[in-house]
Amino acid sequence: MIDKPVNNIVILGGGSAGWLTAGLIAAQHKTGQSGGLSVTLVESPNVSPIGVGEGTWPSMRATLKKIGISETDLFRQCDASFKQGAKFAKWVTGEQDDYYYHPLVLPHAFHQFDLIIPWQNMRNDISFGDAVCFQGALCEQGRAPKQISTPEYEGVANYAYHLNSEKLAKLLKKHCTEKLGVKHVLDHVVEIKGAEDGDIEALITKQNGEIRGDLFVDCSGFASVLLGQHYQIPFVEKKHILFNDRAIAVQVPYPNEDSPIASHTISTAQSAGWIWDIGLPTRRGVGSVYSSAHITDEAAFIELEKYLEASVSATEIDNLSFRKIAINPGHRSTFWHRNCVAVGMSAGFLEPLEASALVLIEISAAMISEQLPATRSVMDIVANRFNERLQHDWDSIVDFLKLHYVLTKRTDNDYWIDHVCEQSIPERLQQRLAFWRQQVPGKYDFTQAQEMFPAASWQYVLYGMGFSTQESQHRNTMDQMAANTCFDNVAQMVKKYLAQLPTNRELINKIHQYGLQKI
Amino acid sequence: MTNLVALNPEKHKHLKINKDKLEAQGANERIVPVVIGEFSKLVVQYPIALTKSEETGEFICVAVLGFEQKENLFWNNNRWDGIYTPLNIIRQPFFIGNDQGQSVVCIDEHGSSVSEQQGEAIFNKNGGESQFLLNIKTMLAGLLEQERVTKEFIKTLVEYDLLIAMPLDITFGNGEAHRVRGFYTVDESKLETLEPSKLVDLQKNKYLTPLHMIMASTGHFYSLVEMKNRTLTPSGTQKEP
Repeated sequence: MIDKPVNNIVILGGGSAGWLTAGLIAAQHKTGQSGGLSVTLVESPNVSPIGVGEGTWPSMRATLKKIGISETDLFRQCDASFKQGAKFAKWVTGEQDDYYYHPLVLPHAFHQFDLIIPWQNMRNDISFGDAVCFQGALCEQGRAPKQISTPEYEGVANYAYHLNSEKLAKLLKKHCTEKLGVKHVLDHVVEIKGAEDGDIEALITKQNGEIRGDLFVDCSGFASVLLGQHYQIPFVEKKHILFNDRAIAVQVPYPNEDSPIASHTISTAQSAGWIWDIGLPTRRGVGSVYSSAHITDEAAFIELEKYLEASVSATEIDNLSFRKIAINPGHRSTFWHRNCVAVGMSAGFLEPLEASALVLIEISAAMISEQLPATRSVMDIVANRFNERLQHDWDSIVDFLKLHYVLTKRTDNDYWIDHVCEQSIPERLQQRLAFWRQQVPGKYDFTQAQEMFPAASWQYVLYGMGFSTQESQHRNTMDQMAANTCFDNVAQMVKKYLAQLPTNRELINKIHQYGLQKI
Repeated sequence: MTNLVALNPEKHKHLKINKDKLEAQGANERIVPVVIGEFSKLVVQYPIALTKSEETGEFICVAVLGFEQKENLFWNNNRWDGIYTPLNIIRQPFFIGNDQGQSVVCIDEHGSSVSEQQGEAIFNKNGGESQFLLNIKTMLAGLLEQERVTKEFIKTLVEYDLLIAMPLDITFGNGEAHRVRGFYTVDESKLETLEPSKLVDLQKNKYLTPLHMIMASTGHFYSLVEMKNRTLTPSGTQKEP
């Protein structure tokens, strides 16, 4: 048998998943050069992208830099804004003063000390987030994470983006086709042509005939045309853990063009779900995610209206257009099958509580690109690795999202009561929580080299929600004096950065006007 | 406090400029923006570097005068200790302002060289512009044009990716270590490997000479350290031979 070389990559779907994948593969291979790897993206002319996932992770900076996109262009063309983490309001008691931050900067001296035990002695005076990290204070003041003189993709504080994902796809499309040699075919796929051995041989299109490939990347969104429809890979539902199955999304204008832009995602818990609030320079993206088993569409809509009333007049609300989205939380049981791999919503989808959609695309595309097999004979080895890694990542996200619910003290709706019910909590998460009542989360809990949510993230949510760890009295604890020095350092950093950093709006305006320098 | 206003023959008819005090206006400047036209005079003594404007983040060309905030090592014993004084020092207290798209000459009324008692009159007794002012206006017009040329020059350096950060880790004579960040210079290796077409472009625009002058001038950072060391050593002490 002749071993087939992998020379042609065919990507089906032109949303952010498709173009990010195309960009990463093309940038890291000799695409567009003679004898180089061929990358073709096939996109149906009348499928519009769903346009969810306006929040990214900090990893997006490295991803875009690798692809060769300028950060200035990102801000100018994709309505990008800075995101320094998330503020979770009303998740514990539902009261006005109930909130905590999950910032993107690690707890102070994270790799040297564990400040949790010393912080617990003063937990009534200061929140965990504010005690160990300066970033929540920057967010409260609407500050940017950098200055106009800070080079592209570098920050004073760690940051990610809020952006218009349709515009991101457009920017990537232009860059991929004009600079990276990616071929773009705008056509309907009418049939999937299989080979005898079960691989996919070609996509048959209406006008461009057969598009043959050695590896097919399914970025067709919820339709999951290749992995789901063609290969019938089963879907693993997670609704019994994460109940939310509906969303209503709306775009909200600012009162005026100087209105502050929040530099964090605001997630506010409701009676049977939560509302996201994402500030772009041009508008806010707001939406309600809820469980249809616990609240009617009408009641969820009224809650969303009530949330909007705090910032928008009633007549303006009447003029907004609301869009309903159905969510089926879960993922495919396998992500890479034969010579087909799914990236993006074709692989699965979960509620956007920690902005996991775009980051999963980045992780998947990077691994496909970096581990791209040279020949078909070793593709199954890569596929196995990919499936193991992605299975681990999906499980991690499910556990981590569930964490936001299991520590609630709310009892105002069965939604919250059901969330803390043991049957709805994955076994591993239950074990971890039991263990963490005695020891703080650390390196033994998370053993993967590239863990999606490292110990720091778990700490911010756990102790932000009032979790308590009682260590064995046999343990040496950290000296309170040394810990206080750390807390003082954090307070000093807050002062220093507040004195230096402009507001989010100021910096974004300057980027639009002057651009950021590359060095 | 500076107070910038457009020059007005009626309001400012009695004002005089003390030329002896012009250089003192730069006594506390750590850097001064410079233009291509004066590179050949600057390169004899000053490090010419690029730095980012705090306001816009854009690169500007500067002569470096000191290390600490407000430190001008060329200002010694109440005089400018240099062969050449940059235009942006001696043009003060005059500035070019912008009034509805028109360039207008402005003056800092509170400038240290400005008084009604001493120096060159700005206006004649009959209210007309004095020769002194006419000379100033010629200089300002030249500076404005040079600023435009320098901006174009910098734009090309950025576009051709020819700049490189120049972190300075200095230990002064008294053993004190100092980290200086924020200066950039021309990347020699990138210039040497630049595509021929771009190189021709630099040549056509007469950018090669200023580019090399920037590179050559970086050696003056050593002289600047020496000047700093002299301020640290008690005066009158002899150096080792």
